[in-house]
Order: sequence, then C-alpha cells, then structure tokens
Amino acid sequence: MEFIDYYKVLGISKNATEDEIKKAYRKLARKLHPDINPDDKEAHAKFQQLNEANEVLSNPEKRKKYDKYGKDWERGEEYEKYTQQQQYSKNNQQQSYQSGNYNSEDFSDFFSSMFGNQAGGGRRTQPKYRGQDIQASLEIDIKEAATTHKKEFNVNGKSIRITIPAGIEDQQTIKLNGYGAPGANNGPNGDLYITFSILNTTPFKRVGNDLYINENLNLYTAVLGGEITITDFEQTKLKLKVAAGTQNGTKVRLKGKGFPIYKKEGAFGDLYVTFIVKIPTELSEKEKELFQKLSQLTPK
Amino acid sequence: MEAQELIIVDVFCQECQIDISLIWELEEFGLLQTIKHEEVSYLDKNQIITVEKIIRLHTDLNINKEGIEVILDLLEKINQLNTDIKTLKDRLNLYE
Repeated sequence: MEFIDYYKVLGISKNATEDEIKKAYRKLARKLHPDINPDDKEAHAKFQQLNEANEVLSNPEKRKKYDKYGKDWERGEEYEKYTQQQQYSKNNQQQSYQSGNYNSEDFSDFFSSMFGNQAGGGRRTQPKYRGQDIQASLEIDIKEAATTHKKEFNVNGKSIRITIPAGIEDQQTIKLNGYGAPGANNGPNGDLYITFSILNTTPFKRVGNDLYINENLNLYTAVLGGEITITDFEQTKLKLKVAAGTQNGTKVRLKGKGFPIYKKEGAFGDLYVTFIVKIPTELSEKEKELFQKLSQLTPK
Repeated sequence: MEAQELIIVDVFCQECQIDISLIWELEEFGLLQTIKHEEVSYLDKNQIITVEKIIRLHTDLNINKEGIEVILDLLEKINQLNTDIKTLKDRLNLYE
C-alpha cells in the first residue's frame, strides 16, 4: 500500500490554513471534476485522490492524525481505534462534494487503513451518496459489431447481459443506468459505462458507416474494361463492371453495401472499392515484343 | 410513434436532494425544459443525464448558470472535435 502525500495532492504546504486548503481544493476540483473531464480516467483517479485529501486535511482531527503518523501511519493502529469512536463535528460536512460520482467506497486502501471506510468518519447525519460510476471496456470483433447480438460479461463479480446493437462504433460508450456501484445511505446506484473496442482483422476499413476495400485489377481489364467479382463484408460475391480506361486509384461506390447503421435497422452505409491496377512485372519475350509494338503505335 | 418517457420533477428533486426552485431557475435561464401535463411538471428522460450534470456542476463546483452554459457548450464542442479527430484518423488509416 502506497503512502499518499495529501499536501502534495492539494499542492499546499504542511502549515496551510483551512482557507488555503479549501481554496486549493476548489481550484483543483474545478479542473478535475468528472463532468468537466468525461472519458478521462486519469482525471477521475486524481479527483478521487483530491476528495480523499480534502476529506482528511479539512477535518482537524483527521489532519492531526495524518500529520502525526505521516509515513509511519501503519504503526498508528491503536490511535486509529480511538479516533474511530469519536464523533466528528458536522462543521466539515460542507467541505467535501457529496455527489459527482463519489462515495465512501472510492477511498484508497491507504485512506481506509488510516481512517476506516466511513467517508464522514462517523457523522451523525449521513448524506445520501450516489454510487460510483463504473467504467468498463469490452473488445468485440468487427463481425460481431455488424450484427445485433447479446453479450454476457462480469463487472465487479456481477453478471450483466446486454444487447449490443449492430453498427456500434469503435470507442463508443454506452451507459447502463444503475449498474454501477451501490449508493451509500440509500443513495442511488451509479451507472455503468461500457466502452467498446472493435477489433478489425478483415481487409475492410471502416470510416463511420462506410467500408473501404482495395481490389487489384489487372492491366488488361483496366485498359479494355470488363467484369470482376468481389466479395463484400457479408461474404456475398458481387459482380462489378469495370469501365475501359480505368485508372489506378479509381474509386467506385456500392450503395448500401457498407456497415449497418447504429440503431437503424435495415440501413447500411456504402462500400467503396478502390482499384489498384497491377502492372505486369515478369513479361515473357513475346509480351515484351507486343508491348514494344504497342508503344510504337501510341503517339508520344 | 415512439413513446416519451417522463419523470415527475418533484420525484427527481427528491432523488437528487435538491430544491425544486433550482429546476425552475434553470428552466427560466433556458438550460433545461420541463413538460407540463395536467398541472404536473415532468422532465423528459432523455434530458436527465444533462440535467444531472448541470446540477452537479452547480452544487459541486458552485458554478453559476452562465458558467454552466459555457461549459456545456464547450463540452459539446470538444465532443464534436473528438468525433472529427476519430473520423480523420479512420480516413488516414485508409492510406496506411
């Protein structure tokens, strides 16, 4: 268990006044609050530590204990037993934020060991705390992301079954109300946020709802035109007409052959096929001769 | 037609432990909108996440209504920029 320097967390000196502590806390809280920093796990963790530092340093009793034991806090067990039985005054209640996805379960092991698990340290009237929001990530294959399917997984030992709609985006987050950590003192549960990582090992590249693929085209088809067969994302074979004189890098759009659109059943993006014209490299003598003849026919 | 899910303002305030006058203040300022039906005021369920966020910014950080409006606007812009960055990265990926 690591020692946490609460003074350092708040960026104040050891002899900071109550006002200085309050000021430092407010300043940092405005910077690190989870609502100001959505999806920033580092800010969330720092905010938690900040609350913890404030909880300790803005409470004279706790601050005294913290200052007394500091790095030797592990040896202060006897003192801890004594202080846990004390009733703290309500004066400091207003100094810590009571919502903002923060509850007593958010305290570090260091805090819990030193002060117990009660955020208020034995307040007479305990305010309701909303449970902590839980951030989870789930990796799914792009093929799975293309179909609406059910998935079961565990978060904090709780089994959760969700329906993932087709068309979910990489790094998209969905929220499950009330599936976060339980609230304290009859406060509401937090929410569960699931961020999806979509693994793509297919040759298709996805941009929003559109898919992109490169298709090789031999020189003769590019020059003379013709028909090629491609396989779309659904593994359906599609015949594609190639116009005579197709240039390298030409893009064709196949409407509605792209990725399913999120929560729009039956709607799909487009598939863009880019032709990569392959120049023959190992020519036979006969072919070389014919190309030379052809070059003589072509006006310079 | 999709049914609209509504939450009674009084119930919401009780759950959040806030004074109902805050909701009327926020509504008057244009930060949220309530729906009145047969003398009862409701909040649209789709609005709740934003309303909760507004309340947290107000109660946790002592930010006034003007400040909240600016923050929400900037957060929306950040969100849009993040979406744009993601789209551009995906497009860039096409050439890698």
